[in-house]
Amino acid sequence: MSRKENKNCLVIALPSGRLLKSCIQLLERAGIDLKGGKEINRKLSFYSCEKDFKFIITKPIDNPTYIECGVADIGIVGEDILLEEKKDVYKLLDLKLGQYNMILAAPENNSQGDFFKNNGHRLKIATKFPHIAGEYFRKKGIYVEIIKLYGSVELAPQVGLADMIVDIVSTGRTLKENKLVIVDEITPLSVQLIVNPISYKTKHDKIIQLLNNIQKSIIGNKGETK
Amino acid sequence: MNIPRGLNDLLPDEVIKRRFLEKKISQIFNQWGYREIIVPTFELYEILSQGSGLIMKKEMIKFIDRQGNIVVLRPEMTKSIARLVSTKMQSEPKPLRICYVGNVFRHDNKTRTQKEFCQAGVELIGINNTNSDAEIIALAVECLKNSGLKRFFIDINHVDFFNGIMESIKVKEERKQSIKNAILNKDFVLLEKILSLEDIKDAEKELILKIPTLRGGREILGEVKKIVDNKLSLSALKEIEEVYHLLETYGLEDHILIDLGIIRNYDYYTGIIFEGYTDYLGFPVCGGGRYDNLSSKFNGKMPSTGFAIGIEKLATVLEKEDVNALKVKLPPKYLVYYAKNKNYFQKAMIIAKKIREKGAIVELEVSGKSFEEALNYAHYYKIDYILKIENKESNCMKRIEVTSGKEENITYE
Repeated sequence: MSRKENKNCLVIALPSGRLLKSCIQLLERAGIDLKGGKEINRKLSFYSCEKDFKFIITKPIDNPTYIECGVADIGIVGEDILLEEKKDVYKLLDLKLGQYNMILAAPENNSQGDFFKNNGHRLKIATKFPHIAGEYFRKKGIYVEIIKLYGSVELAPQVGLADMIVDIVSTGRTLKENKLVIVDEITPLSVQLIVNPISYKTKHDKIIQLLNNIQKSIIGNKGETK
Repeated sequence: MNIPRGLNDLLPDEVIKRRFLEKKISQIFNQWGYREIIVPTFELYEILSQGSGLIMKKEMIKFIDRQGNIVVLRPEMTKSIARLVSTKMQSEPKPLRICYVGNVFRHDNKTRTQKEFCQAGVELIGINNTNSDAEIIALAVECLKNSGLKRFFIDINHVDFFNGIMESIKVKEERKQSIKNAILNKDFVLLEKILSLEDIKDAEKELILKIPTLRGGREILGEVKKIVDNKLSLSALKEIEEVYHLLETYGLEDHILIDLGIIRNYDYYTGIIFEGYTDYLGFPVCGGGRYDNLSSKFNGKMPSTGFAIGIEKLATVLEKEDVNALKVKLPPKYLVYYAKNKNYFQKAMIIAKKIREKGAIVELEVSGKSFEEALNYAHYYKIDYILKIENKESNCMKRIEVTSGKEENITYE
């Protein structure tokens, strides 16, 4: 699949995992028939019924790379990934998909009053987002050791790998289950629609039309839930 | 045996294409009166960092020389040229038309995996008017067109359009900076958030959010004039209009669009800016613009404009548009073969020399291959003919067409 073959259709990269379902719902509300996403489980790339749209499924962290390189025109990605890796893409729209926060959390049984003081030891922070965590502590002027993990970050304080974690929370249930409390909210996170800058020129009308449809469906959906 | 990450060897088939493209483009540069210069591969950091944004400074490949100076592999040519003309060509009559073809070096990032890549470009130095802006853009179109590219556009803009809007809105300076940054980072989600915080007039809010969508032919200028009322933006629009008009005179309007949302990642631009792109690539193929203040950093005072083409990028889009776009036509290729007899060697040598003089590519069989082996060799390297010398005296020899195997007796004077 090359950019040339996709000249006349809009290529949309969807993130696999927890966001996929809400992405599909969002696009269906915006008028693209995806048959409830039935085909998706079998294929990594597929067309919508009208063939005006082509979809590819990417790992969430890779999503902006597909867009930046221009093999897909539009992507849907969590702000955490955009903050962690700066990308040369247009960030066009907050899709209002769920409520997420980047937070700093520590074990709830931590007896010391000040989380940022560690009896003279350097604090260890486990996270999937070393840049965001590093930036946060740099701004605070605290030297920390950052330990990059690829999953199950909550485990780190329990087994003594780290003193605190920087991670994404939505409901906070996982934190509770692992006996962690939020020490600080670093930044709220949105799910965003991103676009390749050249596609934004060459497929402008199609992109704007889709953008408008999505915007309408977001507003409409808000109205319903009220 | 490894080479550092982000560097590359180019093998013969790739080099042929590369040189073909370089030659074609520098020929066009020359025909428009641009004279080629060569600047050093690395220079002092204090010079090359002038007018560079933070990203560019980070991407520079730096090291320390024996005197303890920080030196940088040139990340682009414009600054070296500004330094060169400010110091060594200051007194020459203006305008100066300068061109270059050469490799530049930057640290790789997530999308650009290459640290070394080739740029061909021009600088038109010493005048500040729309005529020179138009010449540079026309030349960019000409280069892309003549390299064989069919579907492409050059989008033009003026940095003062955006600057004017930013000056005219009435918000605190630090807020202005964050609006600017959001636009530079193409983050319209953040931009909307910032704008919703401010008590900016709705009309201004709308205009700022509209900037990235202001794109089209000449008609877009009329529309924009209705919604912009600050002097700076209006004079920018007037310049764009003049340049567009001149490009119409050049007959190039099919390739030109106006895009008031273009933001280029260099701080030194002061006027008309532009970038060229195609459907086939998610990045611009070429880009440039006016930079009137850069030479003042080197004690020169020379308004300038210029552009650079990414040669690798251009090669990529050409081949995406047409697989055969870079099939270079070479002169006929010969292999002079002589039977295993030392006495024939001298004759073979003389014949090879004679055919070379006619412009053909000639290899002399020197490795003692059997004829069959030589034939295989010729097939592999796409050699057109084998000349087989079978006796020492007469001028007669056999010419074998490699693909068909057709034999023919010929004589050479």
